[in-house]
Amino acid sequence: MRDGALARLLGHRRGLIGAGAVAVMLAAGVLAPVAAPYSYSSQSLTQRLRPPGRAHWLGTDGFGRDVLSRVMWGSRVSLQIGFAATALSLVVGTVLGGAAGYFGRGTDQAVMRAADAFLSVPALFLVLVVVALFGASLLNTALVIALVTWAPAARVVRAECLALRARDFVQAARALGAGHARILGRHLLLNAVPVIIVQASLMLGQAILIESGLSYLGLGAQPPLPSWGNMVVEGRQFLASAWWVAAFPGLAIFVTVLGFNLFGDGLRDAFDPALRGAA
Amino acid sequence: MTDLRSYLLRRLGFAALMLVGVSLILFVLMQLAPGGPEAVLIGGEFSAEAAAQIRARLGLDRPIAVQYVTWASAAVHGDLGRSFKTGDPVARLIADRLGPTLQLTGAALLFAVVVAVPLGVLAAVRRGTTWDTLGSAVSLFGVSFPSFWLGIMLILLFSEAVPWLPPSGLAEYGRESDVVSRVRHAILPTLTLGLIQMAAVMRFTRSSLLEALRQDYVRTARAKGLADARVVWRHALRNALIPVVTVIGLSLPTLVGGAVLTETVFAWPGLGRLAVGAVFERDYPVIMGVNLVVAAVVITANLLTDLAYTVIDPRISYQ
Amino acid sequence: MIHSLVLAALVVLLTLAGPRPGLGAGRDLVIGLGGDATSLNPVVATDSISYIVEWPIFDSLLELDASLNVKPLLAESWETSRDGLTYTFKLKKGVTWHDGKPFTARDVAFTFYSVLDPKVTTPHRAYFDALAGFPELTAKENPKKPEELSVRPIEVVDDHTVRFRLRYPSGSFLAVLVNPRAGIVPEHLLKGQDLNTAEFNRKPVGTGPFKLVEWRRAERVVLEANDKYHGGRPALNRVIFRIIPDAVVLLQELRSGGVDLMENPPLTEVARLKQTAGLRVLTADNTSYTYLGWRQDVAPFTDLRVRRALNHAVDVPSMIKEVLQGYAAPAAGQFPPSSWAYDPSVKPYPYDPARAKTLLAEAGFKPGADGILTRDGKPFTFTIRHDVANQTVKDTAVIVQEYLKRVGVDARLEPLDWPTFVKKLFASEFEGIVVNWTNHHDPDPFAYTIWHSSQWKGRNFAHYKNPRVDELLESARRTAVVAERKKFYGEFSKVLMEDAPYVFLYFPQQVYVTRQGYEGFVALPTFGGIYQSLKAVRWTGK
Repeated sequence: MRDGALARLLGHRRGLIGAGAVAVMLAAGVLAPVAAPYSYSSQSLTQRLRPPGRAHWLGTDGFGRDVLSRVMWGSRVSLQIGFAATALSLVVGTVLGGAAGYFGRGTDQAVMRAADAFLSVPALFLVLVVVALFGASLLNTALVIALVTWAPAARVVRAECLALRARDFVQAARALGAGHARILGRHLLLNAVPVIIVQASLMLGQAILIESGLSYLGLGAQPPLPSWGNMVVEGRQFLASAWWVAAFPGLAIFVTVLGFNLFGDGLRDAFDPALRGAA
Repeated sequence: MTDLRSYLLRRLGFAALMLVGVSLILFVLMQLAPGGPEAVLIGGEFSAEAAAQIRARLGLDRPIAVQYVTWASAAVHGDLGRSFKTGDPVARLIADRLGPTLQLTGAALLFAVVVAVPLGVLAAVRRGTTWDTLGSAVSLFGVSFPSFWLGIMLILLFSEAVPWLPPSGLAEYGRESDVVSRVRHAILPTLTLGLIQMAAVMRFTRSSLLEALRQDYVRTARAKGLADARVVWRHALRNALIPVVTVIGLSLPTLVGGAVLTETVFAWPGLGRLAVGAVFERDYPVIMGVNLVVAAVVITANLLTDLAYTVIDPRISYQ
Repeated sequence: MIHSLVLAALVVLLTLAGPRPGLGAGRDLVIGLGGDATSLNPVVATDSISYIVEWPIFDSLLELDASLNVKPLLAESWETSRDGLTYTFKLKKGVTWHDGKPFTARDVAFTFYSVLDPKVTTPHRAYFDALAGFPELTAKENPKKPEELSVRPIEVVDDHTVRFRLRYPSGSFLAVLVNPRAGIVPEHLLKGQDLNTAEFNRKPVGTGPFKLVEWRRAERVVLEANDKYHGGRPALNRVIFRIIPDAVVLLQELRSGGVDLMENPPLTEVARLKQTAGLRVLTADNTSYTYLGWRQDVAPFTDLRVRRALNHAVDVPSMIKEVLQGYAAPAAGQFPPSSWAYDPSVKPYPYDPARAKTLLAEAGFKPGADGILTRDGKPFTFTIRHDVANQTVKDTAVIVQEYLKRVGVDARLEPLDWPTFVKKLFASEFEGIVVNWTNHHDPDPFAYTIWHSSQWKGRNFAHYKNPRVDELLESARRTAVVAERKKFYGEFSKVLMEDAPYVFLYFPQQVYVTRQGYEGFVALPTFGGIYQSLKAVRWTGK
């Protein structure tokens, strides 16, 4: 089944486009320290708000800093936050959701009620309180995004495990005397991997959007460290006179999030043959 | 029936416990956060004296446990206290702001469902064709923009490039009961929020309808020769409703807690902005009040959603 | 599908059918604000937005003219005794409150006794330090009541005459009797109430040119013209404050007609706004200033060479030209160029990074491997705290950080939200700060409270101490002769600049954008200068 999935993935046009977009952004982020033409913080007050040109391919911002370099460095920051938040969120969500789906009854109730508790507090509330307490560092931002997104992940995993639990091979394993941990780990979660991966790709996009929302409220990565979110926010005031300052990081967000979503679609269709879209 | 009753009682019990737990944690967290309402109330002409005076007047010099119990016992009777910042009764503040928020998020959700469900159905039924691609494109577009970005783009488009619509606000002064004015002001924020919510609904509809169409009983019905449309609409769609209800349920906190970013961009006087402002200003009674109301609404809605599940799909039982 | 089509058609229909956005035929004035007011009681309100909104509602005894001298408002005339200790004001006759009751000297006495009352939480109290009996009335333990004093600071002579007695001749006494901190409130509505929490604060009644019609929280405040205003009914029908938190959207509202006046647009847009037909840009000097500060009593800032080096390291003229588009004046101390206390012979340190490096080297710093200066193995690094919500301050902090880096000083920015920032500021818990500090049109109130060594628990949170400065500030405070005060403040500025306690950066100008067709705006060179002139604004449509 794996081989079939891979083949389907490779043939899935939209999924490949998405993967490509993400790969480009990832590369920009990874290579920023060596490939960025300028440092992300070096200012030049006489070169402020220059349009895209020879010296600065994407123009300069309100402090004369190179937009291209900052978008590349911003890729590092935004993707770091995105990956950290998603990883945290998925680990917690998978463990709890899996336990809920598999054991049912009390565990299910407990986990679902806990998820409800987190879901019933408005997300930004939680975020603000955490950031007010612990400060707006990259780690805290990732932490807080994970706090807000683990519950939906847990629900998805739980639903999948609930469905899988009733399947034949699980009954068979039980009949053969396999222990809970083995069944949960080996059979359920392994088969839930496709769902988890799809969820991950969607959450990555979401995490980036949440980070930019935090920047809009003044939280999130703080200057002079660039994140796409705070670049868009800083650049908004120049929209009429220097559109490139906000447009390029905005475009970066759009392309990356879209890429993750397309890739997620591709993954989902690849793992489930009946849902395959036109290649 | 006793099943249902004991289930309900249990859920309500949990709900009450959760409300207490969540509010207690929030209360403690808030007090731990550095800075307090006195900074906001005194502004730039701060003095330690004035600060101490204000804290005493607001009851913040009492032990945290005492403060919480005082708040909780009043809250149980419906008295949510008064805002530190303005002195307005919190219950009234929330009531005033709940309306605009529900209008906005309700309209956005309606827009999302009305546009996304038919698109999702079309995409599933005409899988692989241009309809499918179009549907995916529209939904992906909506979900890939930050809302404050989309908002300002729409504003620039519809009030600058093409000066049709007002950029922000609920209605013009003196025209609050004028339906036309209200609708015109609501279009851009609803669109901003709705485009984003549309994506999730569309995807769910499409994939769950595809899943439903795949089921054995559908294939059997088709084999038996029943008209396609009847098969789809009668059997598959009903089952496809479940995830749609899920998605609606998941967007409830946003619904009530308010779409903070959209409300801020469009100067919409809603609950979300109230909540955010209260956190920035350490307005504890407002924070606690909003949290309580939102949590209560969400917990109730979840309960109703779960009950709805059991109605739609009798295979799901009360565990 | 059908549903969506019908909905779409409906939307299009409604859009086209509706009236164009924008308000009134110009007889209203819509002002855009970024936040909501807290309280509309001048005795207790302390934030700048509350000041702005309450300004048209309340009158003070005096108001300012274009040169920031006082002129009559509720007080028709006044006499000063020879020794400068007694001021007798004759009040205007026939003035009524918005509820129709007559305004008398009792209201004046009530207002200022309330300001002095220790039970009322108000920072305005400090402005009246010169009043007789001030220490006794405001004492923390067992404060006296006015009746118990032998010399009453405020005396109602008759219905239209009120007398103030001072304990030392103060040059700033008249200057503090103006809005926004000295609006007169009605005794008949507030006597016996707790001013901190009175319902009046939400439903104010004043004698001003406009009265409150409606206050919808976080949305708008609506004022309408006072027909019976003693200065004549204002030409405007209504003044409506709209609260629009997003600055970019606020600008858009101005452009599309939803707002008629806003302050502080993004400075890079001002040039374009000036070219826009239908909009006008007004600028005026201001008294508030932005600076880079630090704890005076913490190394390495205790070293004069270090402080001077930091002053040489920042290119202020460039910052003003490039970032502030010229809408600021370089700061050489506490007083703006528009103030009479300003001494043009006191100049800021010139931008000279080489000199900065030399001074730092003299102070014992050597460049480390990464370019950061070190001394005794410790790098020269410190955190700069600032308010996260103030965009110009944020930008300034980023630029300052860069300039410091170029001379080898590693400054780390730590933006904090306002409640946290203020708390740490006044608890002196910081290393460096970038702040935009409000100021008063009279030099005394802020110069004294910021630089006098007795104020370490107050605004002198940087813990500055200089006996010569203390002396000069006290002398300037205790004389009413302007020429003498000017001398003292001149010397004060000189001493301060030599001591280089801060890097004084700039005095940002007030920049307003308004719709073409409104006449009568006068932007005074002090905080909120334009709001005093609202009663004279009229729509001519030109």
